[in-house]
Amino acid sequence: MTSSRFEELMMQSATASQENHGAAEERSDHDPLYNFAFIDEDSKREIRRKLLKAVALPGHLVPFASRDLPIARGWGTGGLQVTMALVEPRDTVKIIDQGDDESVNAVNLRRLLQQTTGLRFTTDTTEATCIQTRHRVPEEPLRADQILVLQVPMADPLRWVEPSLERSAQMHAEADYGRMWVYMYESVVRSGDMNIGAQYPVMVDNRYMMDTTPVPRYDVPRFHMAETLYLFGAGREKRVYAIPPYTRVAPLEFEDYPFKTEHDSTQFCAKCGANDTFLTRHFIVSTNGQGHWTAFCSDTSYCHKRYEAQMQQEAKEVPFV
Amino acid sequence: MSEMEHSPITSRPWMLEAHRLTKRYGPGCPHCAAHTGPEKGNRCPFCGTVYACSQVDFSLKKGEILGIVGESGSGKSTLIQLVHLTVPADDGQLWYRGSDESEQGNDRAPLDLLTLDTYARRQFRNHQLGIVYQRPELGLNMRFSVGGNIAEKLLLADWRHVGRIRQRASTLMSLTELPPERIDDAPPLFSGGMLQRVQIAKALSNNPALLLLDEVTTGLDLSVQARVLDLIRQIQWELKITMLIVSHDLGVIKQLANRTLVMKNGWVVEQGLTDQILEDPQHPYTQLLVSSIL
Repeated sequence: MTSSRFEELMMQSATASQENHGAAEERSDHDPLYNFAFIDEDSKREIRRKLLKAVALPGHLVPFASRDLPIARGWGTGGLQVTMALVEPRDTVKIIDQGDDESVNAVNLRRLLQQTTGLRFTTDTTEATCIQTRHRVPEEPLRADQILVLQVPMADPLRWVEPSLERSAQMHAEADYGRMWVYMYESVVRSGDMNIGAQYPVMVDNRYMMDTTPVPRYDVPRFHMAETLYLFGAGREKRVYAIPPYTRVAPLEFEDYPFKTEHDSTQFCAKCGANDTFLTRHFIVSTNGQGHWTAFCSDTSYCHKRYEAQMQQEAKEVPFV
Repeated sequence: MSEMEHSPITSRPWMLEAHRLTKRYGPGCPHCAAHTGPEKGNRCPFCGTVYACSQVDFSLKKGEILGIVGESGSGKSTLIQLVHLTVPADDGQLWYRGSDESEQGNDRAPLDLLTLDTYARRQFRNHQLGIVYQRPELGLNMRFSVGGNIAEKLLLADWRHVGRIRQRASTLMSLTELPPERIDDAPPLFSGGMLQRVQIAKALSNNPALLLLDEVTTGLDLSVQARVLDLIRQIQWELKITMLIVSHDLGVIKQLANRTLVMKNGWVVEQGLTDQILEDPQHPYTQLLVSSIL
């Protein structure tokens, strides 16, 4: 792609596909009208400042000037703004939705980023420097040199018990979390156990109560004392928050009703055979019109990687005839 | 029973002391002092500032019940909100000396509660105070069960065992004459008198040093009123808890309070032992109040 074409694309808020990964890096220093990663520099500075504040106050909801993007609010605008404010031309980005690299939301966000940055993209968790995700934390352990950006639909955990934003902000300021604990108590009393599947509330650094976004309970322990920086962006609610590396993150639990993940030791992935991953159930339709439910790894790239490794291993083990 | 519980209230050290406690709604002006007062009204004609509480002084001893009486708009509820630290005072001090001192005194320095930051106020309110409102919806969350409402203060005090929390809630329900088997029912399923008892159970759950009762019997019929008053008397007798009771009904104050403050237009016009106030009222306003009920 020529440089004049790329300039045109930037002026028109980037609408066409872009494949030349080096172009963005070449243009960024010379063209005053060019904004790397779609968002203007002032907005990026605003987001970065608020992210720094969020990192300094783990778990604290920091308001930021969320701007409009060419995707609807509620479709990942918070995460996308955080990613766009962070990425540099040398970054390798991975975008997943429900653990899947090829879901509609992930593909759309990836296309937008691809068209406006020319970054390198990957599906391999270990290769990525910045991972944007919705509803899952990748199965492979994340490193200190990686950043995980989570899209957040509902930032405030107190929304369940306090509809007024002003009062919930005061409750956070005074660490007044009694009502949320009563909510947990009621959950136990009504259903016999904690009946919160996703968005499980946690205490961050023993100070702020935080919503873990709709990640399953399976992923909640991954936030505790993690090597990686976790950044959360809620575009619709205009809030960012963070869990810096090596931060204590404790799920709300009772002594007689401890926190449990959804892990089921009897379930295995139908593709790679894994039992130590988060599995999702799919309905497989047979040729005869019948069907059955089967479990697969939610993290598709990890599952595929394991499957490939198994195939290679089996190929090696096949005796020469 | 400790040595202090046998001693007369008058010889005990004070637990809470208010000095010139003032709450105003408005900017205030140099004319306010001259144009407001118990006889002049609580609204400054120059700047429109309303003095809900003006220079209120009182002290409260451990185990004592202090009654606050006055007509509607006299500043009773504002005073209780100031003590509950839900409304910030504009002037004055509110000294607190804790509840665990012996008769011989304690070596803990008194703490001015008005100097605490919002976080410390919340902590103090959660751990040292209990409050019962006239309207149950102010004190209870109608979406949670009765057990959940009673559990809130226990959870704030780091109780993290559901079984023990429910046991404590059941005990408190029995103490307040509520059927423990209804622990999981929602508050809207209870009658007005029962809701007041739920509020009392909630207020007692964390063994507060001071219990604040704001018009607890107003709006209840006479038989229910009598049962609630009996319950409060019984709790005070058994737990020796210090109480601050607000009521516009001198009959309630007569039955419960050791000492009484009479308020008018935000000012304390008379205070003393309850029987003295009732038998020999000095201020014309108190005389009017007493004559209107007796």
